[in-house]
Amino acid sequence: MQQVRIIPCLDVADGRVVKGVSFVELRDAGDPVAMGSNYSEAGADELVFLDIAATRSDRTTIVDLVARVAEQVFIPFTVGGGVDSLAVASALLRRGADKVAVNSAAVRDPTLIREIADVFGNQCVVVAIDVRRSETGFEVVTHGGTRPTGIELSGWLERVQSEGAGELLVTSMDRDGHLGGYDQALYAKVLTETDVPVIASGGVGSLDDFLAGARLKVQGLLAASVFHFGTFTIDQVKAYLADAGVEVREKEDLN
Amino acid sequence: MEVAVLDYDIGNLGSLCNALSYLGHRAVLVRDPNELDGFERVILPGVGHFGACVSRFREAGFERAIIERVHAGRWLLGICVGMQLLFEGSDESGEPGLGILAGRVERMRAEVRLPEMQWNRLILERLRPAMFAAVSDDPWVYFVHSFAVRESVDAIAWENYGTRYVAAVARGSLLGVQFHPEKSGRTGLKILAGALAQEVEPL
Repeated sequence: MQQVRIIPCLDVADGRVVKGVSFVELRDAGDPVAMGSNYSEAGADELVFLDIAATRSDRTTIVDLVARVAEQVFIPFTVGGGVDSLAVASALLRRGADKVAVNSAAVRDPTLIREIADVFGNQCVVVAIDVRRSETGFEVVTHGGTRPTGIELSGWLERVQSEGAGELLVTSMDRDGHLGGYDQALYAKVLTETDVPVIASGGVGSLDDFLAGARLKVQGLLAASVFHFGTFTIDQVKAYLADAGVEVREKEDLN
Repeated sequence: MEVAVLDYDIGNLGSLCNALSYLGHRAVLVRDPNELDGFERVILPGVGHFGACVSRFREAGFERAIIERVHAGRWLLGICVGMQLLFEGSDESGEPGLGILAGRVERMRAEVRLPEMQWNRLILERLRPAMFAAVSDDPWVYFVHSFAVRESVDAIAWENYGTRYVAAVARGSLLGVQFHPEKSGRTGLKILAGALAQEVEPL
């Protein structure tokens, strides 16, 4: 039956994993290759790699780094940040990414979603949506949270689905790095208005936050700070969910 | 050993090649059907749309070579849409499949979110083929699909996602998996290693 994936997220800038609060105040968290390999072995259900410095990154360097992470990771591997053309998506997928996440470039030109989906299949295209609460509801923001778009979330959800989004990675910018829990109203809305898998991201700080997320019936729970800084292990999160009656993938025998 | 991975422009082969390298094999991307003869082991990957896959597979000239290999009892592993291509056809496309295995690929029931993009437990037959010799009784593996086979006389494993679907098939040296062993952690690597270790037997 339907399961929930526990997904550590590597926000990468200039070759290092970093983590901030509401997308700023970045702290160093480690080496992406070593961290990816550790999470893969530790029972993570998927790994997300976001190049958060994409606007100033050299694409070749990033693709090489993605390839080095992919060599160590035998779980689903999603890569985003600066995916602004079919050529970039293709380079990442050929070097070991399983899915690409499009964000700002899709807002600029939503047909990019269709273009990638037509070649690689819908399941390869994750649309990452960063949102901020506004007076009227939820507004889509881009460029690492620096650029408001004036686009209302509902309309955007409809558009990206019609373009062939295979999965949605929805990040609450208000909650990101604050460790106060996922924005439940946000995900209830996204689940109601869509029918593809949804990953919740932004704000998880306690084991109860993971459980609240799982009970929303999202398909993925993404977290960064609590894993990178050692607050919880993947095992602890899964054991807590399992004790509460949520079925999760068991840790593998590593022999 | 050298393992041929059919490269017919259907996308991300990087993960599969990484997994084969990790297991100590050398993945060789093969674009020309005439080059297949020298390989004992051939993997038929596939992602995305059934129609797009089967069209590109045919355009690349692989159909005859693969059907002949299978009928000669040679080893082949189809992964995901690569497994689906072995059947007669799919609800996803008007293009016929290879028709090597009896049955059709159907759209999965929509009372659950599609695509199924998640880990799920395998339900294995009591008598284990080599592919599943080294894994637990109900191992977790990773699936990504919206279409699946409901019934097959060649099924050797199932999954439950709203209803029961075929997760793996075997007929002699012909193997197929709906899930992604290359993305299913240690369990998936063991399954891939088990499949590659299978003795070659005639159909």
